[in-house]
Amino acid sequence: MKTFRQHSLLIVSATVLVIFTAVAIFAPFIAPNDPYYVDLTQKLQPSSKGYPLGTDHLGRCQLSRLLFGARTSLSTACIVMSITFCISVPIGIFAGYMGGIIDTWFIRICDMLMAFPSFLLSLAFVGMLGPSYGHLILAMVCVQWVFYARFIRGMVLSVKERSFVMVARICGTSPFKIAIKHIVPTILSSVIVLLFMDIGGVILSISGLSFLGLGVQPPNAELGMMINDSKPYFRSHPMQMMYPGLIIFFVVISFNVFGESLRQWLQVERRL
Amino acid sequence: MSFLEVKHVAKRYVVGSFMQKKVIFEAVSDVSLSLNTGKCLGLIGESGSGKSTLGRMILGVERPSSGSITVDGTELYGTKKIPSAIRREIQVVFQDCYGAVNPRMTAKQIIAEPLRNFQKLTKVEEQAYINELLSMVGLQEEYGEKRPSELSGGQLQRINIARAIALKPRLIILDEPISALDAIIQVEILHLLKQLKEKLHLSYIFISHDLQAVSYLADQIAVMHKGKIIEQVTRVEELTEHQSKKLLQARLPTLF
Repeated sequence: MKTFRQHSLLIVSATVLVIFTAVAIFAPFIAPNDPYYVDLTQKLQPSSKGYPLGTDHLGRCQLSRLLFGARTSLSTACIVMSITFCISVPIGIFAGYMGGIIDTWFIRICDMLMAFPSFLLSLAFVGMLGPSYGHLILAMVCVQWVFYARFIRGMVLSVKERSFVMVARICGTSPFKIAIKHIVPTILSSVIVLLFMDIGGVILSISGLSFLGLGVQPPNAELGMMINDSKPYFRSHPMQMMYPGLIIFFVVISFNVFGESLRQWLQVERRL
Repeated sequence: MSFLEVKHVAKRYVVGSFMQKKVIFEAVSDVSLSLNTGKCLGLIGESGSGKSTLGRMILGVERPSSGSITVDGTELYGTKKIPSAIRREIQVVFQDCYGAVNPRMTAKQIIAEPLRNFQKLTKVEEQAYINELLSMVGLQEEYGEKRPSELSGGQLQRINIARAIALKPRLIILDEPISALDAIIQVEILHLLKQLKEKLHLSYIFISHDLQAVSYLADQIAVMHKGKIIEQVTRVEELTEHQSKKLLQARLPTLF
């Protein structure tokens, strides 16, 4: 019981996230209707048996679209985070471990990219490349990876100075093996915590870009886009906007709380 | 020619960053020494006197700014990468026994790391050799399964010693190996080191500021002060320089 109270936030947020993830994965089986079926005779209907949360301006089932929207948001965020992880971990370790001129140039590039507000930068990326789902992911990754790579580099710099890394060098372990066997296991928990703490922000950015019409393209359901779709009707049918907004709110807040309590649980220092 | 020859070695650091006046700090300046197989050189001096920097240069992890270090007639820093035949001849035991091991590994994995880099042993051979090493440093086989957090400082330092002797090196740098341990364990580890030295014909460079420990193990003693070796003698009593005497005075009351 004591452990439950100590980790109550972690458990509650994890439960919420598991439910969201399960709903997102099984959306096709849970959704009562086809989220893409347009029926203009049924537009902007209130809750009913057939449409539990009513219909949107094109007569599509609101609940089904919410389920599929959550699916899109979560999967996009996971894709962005996985690609970011795969790019930034090797680059960060390489820059941190090699040091010298490579590290200096790495920091210069990071400083340049970090000088722009990141949302504006991804906006500019998508704007130049043209709106599409692939470009959205590309833009998000391009903006994100610098922060992680820099964070990882910092951790590598401090791990590198620990004597067990020096002993490994003296034992004849190759730099690659040192990175895999000593550095990655040491920094992994901090990196994962950081990913979880940031995933909420990524979901917000994806929704934001989709709201502006630059991300996920219609007719695919996405929470940010649903808010945009319901904009003209928000005086007469405010719930059209409330539902996706609330889901974004709950997903993001549970990711933030989960990341923060995971950090406390694993006792990872807050840096960056 | 001696096994280890250090000739006119210096290490300079440039302190001061962009737009600042650059100051050159010389951690080690013009140090020469030599060491034969089976001998122990005690390197003493106060903190910051450059003894650990000198140790790191001999270990091959810090390139000297000038001068040369030869091991068995081969220049240590002659090529970009240290030749692996020499790499395995010089091993180390650090002061901070918990920092010197990866906390996620078991004792067995820690000892196996150098073996896997240089020797192709089967699982059975490796296990047998690790058990042999554990018994050489006075630990039972079951300690092999433990992680650093489950071991005491003295036990962990024994694991560190086992790792250092695993490749049968000829020189081990002992960088204050007993300073972090309590008095009884210090004596035990010193005994173990002396025993291993005779058994395996090891050379030691024993870096310390503890004259008592150095005099127990060392065949010759070099005193470092401000990056230079100010005196080289064979017995503690022969120290004459003022700085060495200061070290002696600071330590002697604990002797008797």
